[in-house]
Amino acid sequence: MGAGPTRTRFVLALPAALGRPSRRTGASGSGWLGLAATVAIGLALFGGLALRAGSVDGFHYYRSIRAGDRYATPGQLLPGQRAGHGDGYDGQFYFFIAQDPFLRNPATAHSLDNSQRFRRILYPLLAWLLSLGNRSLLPYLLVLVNVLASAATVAACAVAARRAGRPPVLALAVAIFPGLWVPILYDLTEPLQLALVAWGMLLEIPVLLFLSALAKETTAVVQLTEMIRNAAARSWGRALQHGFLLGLVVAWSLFVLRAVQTRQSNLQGHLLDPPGAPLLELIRAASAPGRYAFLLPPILICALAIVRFAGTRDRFAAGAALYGLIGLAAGTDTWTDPWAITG
Amino acid sequence: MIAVAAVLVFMSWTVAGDRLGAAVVILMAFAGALGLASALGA
Repeated sequence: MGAGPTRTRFVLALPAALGRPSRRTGASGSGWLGLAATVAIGLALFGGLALRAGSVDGFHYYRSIRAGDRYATPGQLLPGQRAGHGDGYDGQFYFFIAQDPFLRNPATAHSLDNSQRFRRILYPLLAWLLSLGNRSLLPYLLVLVNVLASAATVAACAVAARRAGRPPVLALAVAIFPGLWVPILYDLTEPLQLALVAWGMLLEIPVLLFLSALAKETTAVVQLTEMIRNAAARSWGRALQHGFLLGLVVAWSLFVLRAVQTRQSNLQGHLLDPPGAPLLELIRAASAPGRYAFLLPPILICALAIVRFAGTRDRFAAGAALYGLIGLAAGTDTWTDPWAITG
Repeated sequence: MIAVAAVLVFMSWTVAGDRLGAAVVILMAFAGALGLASALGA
């Protein structure tokens, strides 16, 4: 697929998505104002949280990277940046890759906990591109990319609401959802994945879903449902596009699995490790009932996403249902971290 | 992990207007309020 037709389709689809008049709010002008205000509030929220995160270390943003001495080597750290004792957190791996996205230095691959980090190449690659090779800018760019990506997700939801004749301000329910802002605090790849999947589904552009899967491979679930849905509707051209791009994601994943020598390498991540992990965590939470407040909403969201597909079968609902299933299949590592379950 | 499911349900609900979708949106807002209160209070 060439870049020209894709760009043309995006240019044609965007005004149609943005410009559809509101049925309930009446004048499109008020809809535009509501949309702009919603995105501005979202941007202010994410920017404010990012500034708050930076304030704890003099706005170096090393704390967001959370490098741990189990993985980080001195050559991968910036002047004044120190690795904490232990594992650190996931954002450090994207920081390492962003310094060396083509793995010219063998130490880069060796510093990754799992090849899945390199499989999620888009986020660190984008930061590397924006840095123009100046690695001292990476701590800021990793945060900036995520702030803008989360704002883009809010924008997509506000546009979706406006297209359906609902107040765009409803998208603020999405903006405050921890899955949008917690990853900003930890330099995680999810905001970019989410923005691309939201706009890809809204504008029905397969390449955006493909790019989303390069940010995090779980978007393949949505690519699969879109392929099946289009095939069922005998929209063969679109089904083939999704199938081809899904095949590219699988090929990329297999290539990384074989070619990138990290400490661990697998395709499934923490899925089914063990089966029923969220239910097991609910049982364990009986000893600390406060945890129910953090555990129950994401579990219920996954369950409702699955159940509602019985009565609501639009293209968004299909992807949500299968993704909800994958969420419930996630392992203990995911469900024991109240932030990660919403990330 | 579940943000994609939540966002897709939101987009679906804007069109369908169903009760289960509304419940998901309310849960998102609840989890968000709780999370923000926890993060900003920490």
